This record gives sequence, C-alpha cells and structure tokens, in this order.
Amino acid sequence: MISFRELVRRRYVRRGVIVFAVMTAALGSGVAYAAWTSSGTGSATTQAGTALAPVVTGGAVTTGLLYPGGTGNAVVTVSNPNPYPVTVTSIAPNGPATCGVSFAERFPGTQLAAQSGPVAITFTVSMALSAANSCQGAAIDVPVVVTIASGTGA
Amino acid sequence: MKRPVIAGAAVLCLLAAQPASAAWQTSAPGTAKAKAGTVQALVITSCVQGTPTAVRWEAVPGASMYTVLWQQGNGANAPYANSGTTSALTYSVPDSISRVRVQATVGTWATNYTQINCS
Repeated sequence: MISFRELVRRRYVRRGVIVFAVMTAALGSGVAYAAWTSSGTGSATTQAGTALAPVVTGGAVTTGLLYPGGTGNAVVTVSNPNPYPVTVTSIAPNGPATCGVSFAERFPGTQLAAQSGPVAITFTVSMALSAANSCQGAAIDVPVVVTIASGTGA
Repeated sequence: MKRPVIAGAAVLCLLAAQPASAAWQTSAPGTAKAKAGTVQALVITSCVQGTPTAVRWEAVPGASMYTVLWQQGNGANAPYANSGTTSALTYSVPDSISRVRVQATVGTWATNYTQINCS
C-alpha cells in the first residue's frame, strides 16, 4: 500500500525527469559528464574565406525582341566563382540603357552550383515609346548589378 | 501544474532565440543584352501610270501611316519633292509619274523607302 504522500512525491519526480529530458533535447548537444576534468587555454587558427563577386556578362537574345512601347527580353549570364552554391538574389538597373530600354529590379532566385560556369538568366525589359528609328535591329546593352548570396534557399 | 508549463515555455524560448544565419552576399556590375526588332519591309505591289497614278502596297504589321514620295518631273535624277500620307494601302498621285517611293511608319519607327517604276 503506497501512501498519498508517496504518490505525490513520485508525480513530482516524474515531472522533473520529463522537464529535464525536454530541455536537454532542446539544447541539442546532450550533456556529457566526466569524472576527471581539466582545462587549458590556447588558440586554434582558422581563416574564413572571402565571398567572390559573380562574373556577369551579356547573353544571346533569341526571342522577345523590343519595339517602341513594348516589352521584350534581356539576357545576362552569371557565373559563380565561389566554392559554395549561391542564389542570384537580385538583378538591378545600373544606369540608363540606350534606346529608352529600362526595367525594375528583379529577384530571380536562380541557383548556381559551386564554381559554376555561366548560367543565362532572362528577364523582361521595356522600350520607351519614343525610341529612335535608329534603334531598329540594334543590340542594346543594359547595365545591371547582379547580387548573389550564399546558399540555395532550400 | 505550473512548473511544467513554465519549464515548457522556457524551452520554447530557447528554441525561438536561435540566431538567424546570415548569407554571404556579393554583387558585381555587368551588362545584359537585349535586341530591338525591325519593322517589316514594305512591298509595293503596283504603280499604274496615268492621271492620276494609282499606287498600291502590302500592309506592314503595326503601321499607322504610309508616306508616298514622287518626283518633281520625270527625269531619272529629279528630286522626290512631292509627298502625301495615308493610312490606306493605296494612294492616288495626281500626276503621271515614272517612279514612286513608299514608307511605312510604326510608332516612332519607319521602314526604309521602297521604290518602284510605274508603267
């Protein structure tokens, strides 16, 4: 026959064990316990790498030609020189383009493997209604700033 | 009953307070490429000489206006000093002429002048 006092004591013990287990799991690292301990001071040396800028060049436009007042395609190729995968987070204007071509910042989210070769990214641009007649058939340079960030966002 | 709840809340706070990971970010300037289209060339289908001279041509996609030029006189080197405009695909030149030129306008763009001899 277990007394009421004993039952209450066991309940509190059980709760304590559960709370301890949950906190231990949350901290994730577990709790090691050693009978003999010692400590010392010193320093390890490591060197973090530096994020390298993407390599940005113009790509070949095969579709989406531009006409006055209309929209079409612009193509940029981006290479990742870094030893880790990256995501192209932004393609932003970097000054005026010829023939009244413009665009708003894009967020393509294109993923590039570590030390990847050039990957073409197509985005939409527009041509001003006032584009000069001399712009017919012209190859148009569109200045951009491409931003990459480590990780693939997965 | 309160203690387990408090402990649970503390654990949740610990989990929620994990530091956010910051991505390494770099940028570089460069140049994207785009390409402008061209207005389709205009084709004159006929120029029947007379008074007037009737000129016909094929439609150019997107064209809102056509400009017709004809010579002042019929010499080979006579200047194309006369002109008229229309949105139609025909034009009646009030003179008997030997040659005619027609151009299509699409917005701010225009085709090159196409020339034909009248007969």
